[in-house]
Amino acid sequence: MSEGAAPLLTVDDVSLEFRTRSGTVRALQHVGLAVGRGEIVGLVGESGSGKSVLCYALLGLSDRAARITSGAIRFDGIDLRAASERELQDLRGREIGMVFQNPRAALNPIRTIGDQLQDVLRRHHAIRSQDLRARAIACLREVAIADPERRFGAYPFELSGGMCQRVMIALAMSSRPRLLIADEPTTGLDVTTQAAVLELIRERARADRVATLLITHDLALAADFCDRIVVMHAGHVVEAGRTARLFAAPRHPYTQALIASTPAGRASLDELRPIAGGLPDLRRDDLPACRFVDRCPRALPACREGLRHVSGAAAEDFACSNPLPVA
Amino acid sequence: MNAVPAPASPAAAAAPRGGHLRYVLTENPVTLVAALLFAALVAVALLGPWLAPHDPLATAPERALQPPSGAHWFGTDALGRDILSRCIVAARLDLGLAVAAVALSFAVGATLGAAAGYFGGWPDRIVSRTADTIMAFPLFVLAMGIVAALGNTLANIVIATAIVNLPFYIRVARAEANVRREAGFVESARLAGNGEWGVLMRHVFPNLLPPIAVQVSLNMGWAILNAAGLSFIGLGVRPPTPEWGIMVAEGAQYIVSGEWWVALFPGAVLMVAVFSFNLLGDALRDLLDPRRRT
Amino acid sequence: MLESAPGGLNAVEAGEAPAGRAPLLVARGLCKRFAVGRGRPPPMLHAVDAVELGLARGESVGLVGESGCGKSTLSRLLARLIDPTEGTIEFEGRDVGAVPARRFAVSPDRARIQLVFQDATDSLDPRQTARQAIAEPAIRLGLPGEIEARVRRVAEEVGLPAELLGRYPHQLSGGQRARVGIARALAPEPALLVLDEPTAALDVSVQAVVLQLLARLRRERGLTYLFVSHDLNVVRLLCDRVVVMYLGRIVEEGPAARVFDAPAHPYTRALLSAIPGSGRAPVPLAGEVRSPVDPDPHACRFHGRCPVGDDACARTMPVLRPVAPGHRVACLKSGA
Repeated sequence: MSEGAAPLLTVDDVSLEFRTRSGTVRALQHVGLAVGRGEIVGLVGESGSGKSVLCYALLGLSDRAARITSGAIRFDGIDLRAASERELQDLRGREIGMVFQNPRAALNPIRTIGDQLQDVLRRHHAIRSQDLRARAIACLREVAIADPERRFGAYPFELSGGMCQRVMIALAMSSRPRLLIADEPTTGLDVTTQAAVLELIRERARADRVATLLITHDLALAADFCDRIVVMHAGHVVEAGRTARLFAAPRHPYTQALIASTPAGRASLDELRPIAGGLPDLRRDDLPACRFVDRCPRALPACREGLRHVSGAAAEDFACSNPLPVA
Repeated sequence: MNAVPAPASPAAAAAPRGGHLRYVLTENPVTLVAALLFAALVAVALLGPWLAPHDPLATAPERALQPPSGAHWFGTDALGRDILSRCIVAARLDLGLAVAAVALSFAVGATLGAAAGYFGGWPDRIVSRTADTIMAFPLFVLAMGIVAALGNTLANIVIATAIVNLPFYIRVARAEANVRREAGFVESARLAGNGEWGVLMRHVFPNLLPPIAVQVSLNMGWAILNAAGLSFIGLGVRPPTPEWGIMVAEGAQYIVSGEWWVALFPGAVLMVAVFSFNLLGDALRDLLDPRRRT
Repeated sequence: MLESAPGGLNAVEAGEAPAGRAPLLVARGLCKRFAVGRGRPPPMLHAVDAVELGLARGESVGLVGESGCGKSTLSRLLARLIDPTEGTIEFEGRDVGAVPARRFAVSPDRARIQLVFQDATDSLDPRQTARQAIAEPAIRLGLPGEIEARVRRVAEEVGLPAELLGRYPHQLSGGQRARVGIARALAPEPALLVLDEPTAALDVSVQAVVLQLLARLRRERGLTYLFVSHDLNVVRLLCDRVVVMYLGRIVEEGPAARVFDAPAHPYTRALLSAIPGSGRAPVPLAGEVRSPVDPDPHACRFHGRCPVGDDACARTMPVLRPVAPGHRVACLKSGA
């Protein structure tokens, strides 16, 4: 973690549900995590794990049907749940930067990227109009976009996916935020571009000591770029810990199963171990305490009754009544 | 912003068609109202002559222009005919005209539009220019012109209304086909051994139906108005045939002298009919779109 | 069971392929160009250029490259969904390249070459149940036997429970849709299966199941696979041979193990190093990607971004030359 300093972002025992026509979806339950200054935390999970739901909840951008039923989300001591929309708008973009999947969709196609960059700068900073352009070009240069003066006047469709994502990072980092949330920033990008984009994020995180939350479904990617990893399954945080430790000696059976089903680093197809079964229906009232119990090789009857959830404050933690033994 | 996550496990086995119908009707109360109105209209159209309390053609000069009463709920017109009975019987004619016109327009327009959108090239050019030509005219004037040219018969009202409506179907079908021609399932269909027309008719066309369904329903309302409008100015339907448009025309001259019911009731019935068709548009789309089956 | 594969097109053609590895498909001088924009002559985008590729019966060949490399176009050319601008495609000895795609769709050969799509959701008609989707090729292509029996048999083979056959695509999970896509491609009993990133849209745990399924099917049915993917980890596990493409041209091909352990082309090396979890130091690729529109026929397409290129590379187009048995590379600097 970050040398004993208090984490910048803490999520403490957060539960969230969606009211839908077909029932109440308990999308998040007792979720806890923390990100410190200059630390890159990977939030890893498959589809349906709740990682994106959590990301939007952090930013106050959840769907209208969503309700946070318990817990606290704190950014530098500010209670984000209690904050007004105005306060959140001020935070978003200035203190908290966001980078989303599919950068082309996030950019306005009929305005140049220079204009969009200037918009963000103007909104969050008192910069004189004549300085805006220079500042925007400087932001582009910081994300290694070649020939930034020419790109300033370019439209999103003229840029490649990788370059659009760099523009998004420039937009996100333009106000020097202290927290960066990146939701699957490289999905859909080429492998070589992916590596470059993530390297850029890492570089900025280290240089400005930005707390970074990287959300991804790609475990191998998280392993390469994150200091700590938080693993989610069906709305629960199942394990959190330093990357090296997590891969070498996972405690939660789901973490181990996820690692075993990843193709990276395997010698043959037979070594892949798919995870049996599927996600439980989160609308049900009678869900077991541990939502992995029906697919878990180490399941005990006690697992259905109760579960101690991962604490946001702990650097290393897991939520399992029958964890894998310490190696 | 972020969508609600999909239910973790897929929904239970596909419900039978009856189940889906019930779901669509109960989900939105407006749909139910529209469906009931529509059902009532269809019932009246089918059962017309038996429901009518009086003979719609029977004249009785001694009872002319009587206001609504117990014996004549909608009053009587200038020739002593019961307006309620005439309205009921007219439903059959008006709905019949509208259904025929819309069906014709839909069949021809949707096929042409789908082919134009799917194949592109010169089929597209020909069809689009034809549609543009039709749309260049004020549509009602065009309908009048067609009926006047072809002859003053009911069949020609249907044809005129159908022609005038073609561009709308062509455009919607063309746009939808254009979007879908590059879809993955179109390539799948080719891999499955479908020739180009097979792909178009078996895969692209059925998927166009939900968006067009809304169009169909709105059109029904418009087609009724069109037929009524043509009759109002004397084209198409001839007296003494009861038809809502003619009845409004006949009643218009009596409004000033205070016999408001002669024009109002046919007009109100016309309005309710058009209204219910418009409401039904959404319900039709829900019914036809398999993705709304849960 | 990843024995070293025959040496690509040359070996296949020369009949040097090991017994049981007769050539199934041979593509020569394959080009696909699209007109983009106006002009006389209009600018042409070279999606696929001078591709020579041979697929031996029963082998699994991986086709890798990044976006814009032409692998999707090549896969559709070989699956006969689009027509080549130049070049020939021979399948089981017959010239199928000359038959226009529209006519090919209704010819008996359509059943012999099938394709599994990347996005199963997009490739399934939302108005068709799983059963109808799987049965359709059998019906259209006039395959013998009872349709329902065939559908049930292939559904069972791909692990799709019979009770799901009556469902519509939106009522199935991602993994189930992928299975329907595979079942549908297998129903006409093809000899060649082109798989276009079939697991890209799936979760890792589901992907593992589908990959093992594909491997099993190949063994049991003796299929030939052309596996198109950007995910090199997956290709390494599933394929005997790998073909690497860049901007429409093949830059390297060879046995999977060799290409992964000892890549000869600088682009392949950069690609492999960029894979997360590869343990290799990432090779940065600076500079702009060359335009695929009207490219210079006398310059290496990778020149400008290549870490080892020099001026000679801008004057000569490299051709595929062997660096080891069965391993060919198109690079002036590879020592080939």
